[in-house]
Amino acid sequence: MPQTAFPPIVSLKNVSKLFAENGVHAARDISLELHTGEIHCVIGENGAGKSTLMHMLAGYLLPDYGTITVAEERLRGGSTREALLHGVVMVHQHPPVAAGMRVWENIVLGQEPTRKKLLNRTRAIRKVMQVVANCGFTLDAMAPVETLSASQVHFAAVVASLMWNPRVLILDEPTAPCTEPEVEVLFNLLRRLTSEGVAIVLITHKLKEVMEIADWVTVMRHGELVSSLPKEETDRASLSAMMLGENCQVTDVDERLASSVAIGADATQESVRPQAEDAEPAPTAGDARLVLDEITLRIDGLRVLDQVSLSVHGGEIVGVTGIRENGLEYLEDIISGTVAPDDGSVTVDGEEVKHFSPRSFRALGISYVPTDRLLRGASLDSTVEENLILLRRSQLQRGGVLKQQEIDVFTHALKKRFRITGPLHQPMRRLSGGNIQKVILSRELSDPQKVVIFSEPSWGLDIASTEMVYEEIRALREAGSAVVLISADIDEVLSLSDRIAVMFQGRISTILAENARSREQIGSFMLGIAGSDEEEEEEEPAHG
Amino acid sequence: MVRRRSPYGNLTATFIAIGAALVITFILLSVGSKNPGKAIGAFFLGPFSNTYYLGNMLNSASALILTGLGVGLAFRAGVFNLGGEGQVYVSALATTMILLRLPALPGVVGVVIGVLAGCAAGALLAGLSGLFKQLWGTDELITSFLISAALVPTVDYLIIGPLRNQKSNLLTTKEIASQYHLLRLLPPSHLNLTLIIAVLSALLLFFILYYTVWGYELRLTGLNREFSRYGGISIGVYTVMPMVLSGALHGAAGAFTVMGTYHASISGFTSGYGWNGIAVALIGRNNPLGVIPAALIFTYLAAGANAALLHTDFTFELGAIIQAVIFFFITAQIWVPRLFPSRKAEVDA
Repeated sequence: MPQTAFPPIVSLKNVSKLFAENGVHAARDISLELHTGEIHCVIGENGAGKSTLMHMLAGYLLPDYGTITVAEERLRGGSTREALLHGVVMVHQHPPVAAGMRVWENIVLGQEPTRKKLLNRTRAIRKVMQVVANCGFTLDAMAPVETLSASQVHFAAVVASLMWNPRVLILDEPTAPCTEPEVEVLFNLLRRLTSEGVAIVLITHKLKEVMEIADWVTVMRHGELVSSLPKEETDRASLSAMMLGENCQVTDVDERLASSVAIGADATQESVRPQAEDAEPAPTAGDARLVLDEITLRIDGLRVLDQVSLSVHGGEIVGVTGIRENGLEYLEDIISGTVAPDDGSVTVDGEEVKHFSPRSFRALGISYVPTDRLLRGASLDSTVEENLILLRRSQLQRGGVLKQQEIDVFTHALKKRFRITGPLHQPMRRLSGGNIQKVILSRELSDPQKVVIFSEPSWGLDIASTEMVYEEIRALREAGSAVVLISADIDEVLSLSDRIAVMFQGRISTILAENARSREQIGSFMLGIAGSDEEEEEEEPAHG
Repeated sequence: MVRRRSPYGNLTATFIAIGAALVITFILLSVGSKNPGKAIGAFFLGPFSNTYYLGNMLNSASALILTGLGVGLAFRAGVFNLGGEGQVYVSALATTMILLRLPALPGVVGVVIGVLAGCAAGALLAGLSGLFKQLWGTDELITSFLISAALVPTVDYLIIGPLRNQKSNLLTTKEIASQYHLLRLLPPSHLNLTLIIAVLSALLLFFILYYTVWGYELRLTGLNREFSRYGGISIGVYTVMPMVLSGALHGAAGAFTVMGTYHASISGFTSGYGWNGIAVALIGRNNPLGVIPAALIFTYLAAGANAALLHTDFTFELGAIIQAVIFFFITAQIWVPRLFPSRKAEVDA
């Protein structure tokens, strides 16, 4: 099916990939064309095969069947080097970084400018700085790579990919960790690149972004290509219908969120809300289960958290939002027990925490779904089963010996309830990003807890999974848990939270009750325009 | 049950690698010897030619099983015990000295005391490195090595000097009382009860690692410390305890070598047990059940080289080359899938 008069830069013909280990057809007989100067969005549910397909194009995987042609040259396949030489570059969903090195060193890796076989440092740094500036990113080339936020790591990976002068640039969910202004910067860059003759593939879940930027849309489901068509010929409703399958009743989450924001309350959930009438910032329903009192945390002399106080009641969801780098990640570390604060106290059900460790926090009844899923939330080299039983290990044993039958019953129940796909005895590493998050969620929610902390729970999840997570979060509220939702996604926070705390430069600049908030208002608090006008900062609290 | 794919690891691939290495050995022997037929025969069949060779081969394997288990256990928990040499040597001397000072006790009691003394000595040495890591974050890989490196010459000095049996021509301590000698299984060889105990230890360790909560937590900590901490597992416990147990297993190797084989501490008599234990753990993929065949293969090669050395024009260097070739193949097959992870599915399947 010719898309334009010009020959395609990339053409995939009947490409298939079967993962023998779990018998999953990650890609089945897929034919696709990419054209220079177009932004081609590939969408689909978690595990639909989007990443697998693009991994084959970029040479990370060898197709079992089918051909890949780039600029009328057929690739042998399965070699990233070959793909790079043909100008095909991929930016991963979780770009790997060489820890302990600086940003520029990570960026020039594999493309180091040399002088007499030695690394030409000056030229390398200058080149990186040029490209960064050209892209419009805020990125310090000299900073140690560990200091970057998740979105900056993505930007660094984008810059690194541009060092190869790509003809085909594949981006795997680049906007997942980004704030809206960052998404804008990225999209402007992508538009410019297409005008310079690059073909861009954007793997995403977000239909809003598809409608904004795509020229051409390909929908995948269960490893198969459902449809490939110009954006003009489709709309969000039909795209999500294609993603979810014909027989699914479709509600577009994004659109529903938008409407719920406009009304100021989520209409579909109104009836089951326990304290919809309560207008005060401090609700009376339930007891204060989690209380943070004047928490201060200093890192390298900077106050990354500055006298943060927050109380969360049973049967309440408190959203904490803000732009990254304003203390959200440190708050996450404190209320999960990962890091002890320099000052202030944490009280759970009236009991003050004496020892800050994840172990003692868990003993107090706190569950925690972390932002960092691959390192903190999962053990990738362990099996799915081993990941699932982490919190139940003391119940699933007798005299120290694990009871396999009970483990089987327990893990299969979780698998069914949370719709985890694939066998339980494969390593976590084999799972797609969305499936990994389902494993983490099912583990954390397997025991009803007093306090549950979610940090960025829907990153990288598709619509159906996101909706499932939201239902679970609401169910926790009904069950009387105190829920903390840390998220940089305003829409997510707005649609779920009873109250919203906005962080700016290490402080909670305001706490907004349900009926007294709007998207714009939250945005202005996030940017520090409203609210924290009491005094000038004597020390710069935020990091970097 | 179609389960537990991961615990057994990919041992098949290991044995394919060993097979490939043996073929190369075959070629090397054919080229390197004036009488290849005889050399090959001596190398491959020598260890089985009489009960003395066979028993001694199995006896060395039993000590290597114990040290290999010790190294592998630490690896599984994500810590490194490079101090095996010193731990075995010090424990052997500790066992000897305790048994020399014991009044005449029933044999079983003395043997138990001897084993406990050896295990305690090894556990203490390795445990120190674990403790230092937990307290101050020192690298246990370096401290365990340094402690061991300092103690080996110290034990040498004690055996040659203050503790030496002046009546012997060897650099050795006095011999322990005969009721503490372990039962010989295949006289005239040194093979003794150690083999049975080593195999039982491997089985027990396998059970602990893969069927108990303790083993689950240990493996999880070894694979991802951040995740274990997040799950409420005490990282400190799984830093110090595996080192302690690893040291205890090395200590057991030392104690059994004294009570089963030499009945005294002789200068340098446990040399190589520590380092070779690392090799054995690697070949066995840090899997307790893999360690048993790994130790057997390792000692078979050493015994084959010895037999060929004695009976043919086979040189010591050729023996070393053959061992190196085998290690090369085994480590290559361990590392290749890790270097190209995306291809692993095809390799495994």
